[in-house]
Amino acid sequence: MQIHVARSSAQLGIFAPEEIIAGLQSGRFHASDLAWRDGMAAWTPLGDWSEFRGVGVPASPGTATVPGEAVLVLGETTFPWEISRSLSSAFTSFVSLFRNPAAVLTNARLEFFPTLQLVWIILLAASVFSIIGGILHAEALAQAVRTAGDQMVTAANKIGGPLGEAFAKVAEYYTNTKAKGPGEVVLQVLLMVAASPLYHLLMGLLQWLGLRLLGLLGVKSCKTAELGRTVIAGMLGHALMVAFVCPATLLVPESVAFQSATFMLYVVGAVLYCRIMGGALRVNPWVVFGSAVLLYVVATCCCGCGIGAVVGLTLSR
Amino acid sequence: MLRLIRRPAYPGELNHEFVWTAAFLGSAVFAWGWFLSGLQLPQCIFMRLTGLPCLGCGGTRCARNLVHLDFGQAFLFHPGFFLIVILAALWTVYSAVFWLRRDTLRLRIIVEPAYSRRVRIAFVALLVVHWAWQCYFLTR
Repeated sequence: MQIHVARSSAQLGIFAPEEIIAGLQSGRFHASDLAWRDGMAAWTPLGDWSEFRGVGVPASPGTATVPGEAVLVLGETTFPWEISRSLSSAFTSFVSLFRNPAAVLTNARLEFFPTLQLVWIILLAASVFSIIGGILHAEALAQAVRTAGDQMVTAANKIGGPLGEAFAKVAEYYTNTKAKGPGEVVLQVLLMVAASPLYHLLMGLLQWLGLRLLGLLGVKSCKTAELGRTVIAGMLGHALMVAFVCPATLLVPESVAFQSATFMLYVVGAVLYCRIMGGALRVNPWVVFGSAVLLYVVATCCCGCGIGAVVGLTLSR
Repeated sequence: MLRLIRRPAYPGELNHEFVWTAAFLGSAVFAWGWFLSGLQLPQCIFMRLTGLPCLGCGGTRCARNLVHLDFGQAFLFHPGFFLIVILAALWTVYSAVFWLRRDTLRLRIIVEPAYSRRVRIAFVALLVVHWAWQCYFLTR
């Protein structure tokens, strides 16, 4: 029967008992590694298994000796938010994430709920810009939705048939958009603040896929990217990127100033995002950039720039 | 090849039952808010440059058809996105049952180590077939 092995919140894989014995003797596995197989109620250290007792080295922390199977071993956290949770530590965390993300995230625990709380605080602070912008430019924003609705109507007419009719009904909903009042703007912004970190978890999943893709292409540092840590770091990185772009919402939507400011703030946010991901996963930020671009080229619509993928790949080797 | 198992979580394991359900529901709210906010979706640069769809093209049209419960059209526009949404909905239902029952064993999909390579090749082949379908259906 096959045995599942895990270490430091990462699963190493599924192995046959003979592989475990050989691994314990070679140092590939530690007696402290947790293991489970069908029928067991809980994960148990390999050293406590009767068939492996006395085999291999004593329990000790450290990295695996087989390349490609190393997992992150975390020291004491220096992330202010994980040391004490208060508004001032949230502010300190934000500043330190901006100044030197690698220094604070290398040993950060990055657990889901505490990180989500920090993300919500950051987004809530940044949402002040969106609320002011939403109230100031309510009519212009409504006009943008109506324009999008008109474009959809044109597309629906081209499609024709029952599908075109269904499409036109959706379009009608947008073409009838009216400017929102201050209360509606606040409510909508708060809903977006609540929901967007959860959406960014999915982006973190895409980021993880991108990193593993680079791992398959031979970038060693990407092979250690653990799913849980990647998605939570992704959520944090995206939140900071969004927080940086939020001030642009003060400008008139669709204007040249708005588009220029959004682009420039987005670039700053993207750099920050790559540095945060790099710090949390202990990989070069260029690798993060390369993997993100590679994935965008393969699977999504925006930023399709293969040069970035090549640069990232080249710099990471 | 692929096997469903039920096992306890190991210490520090990501809570997939909570996180992906929250991500699915949160994304639905986010998408709704996005469409209402007036912000535009970026145009597909790949499509503009090459005239061919990228792997994500058709996803939004699939989502719109799903909202109108036109599953046939939704599937045709983007089979991959359709499948992801269906699986996410099933996962949400499973997670609700998991939490309500206060279960200790979690559902996980594992790839048998011997078949790992074949699964990867099959996945890439599936992406190629998917893209071929998009090139046919979205450029008619």
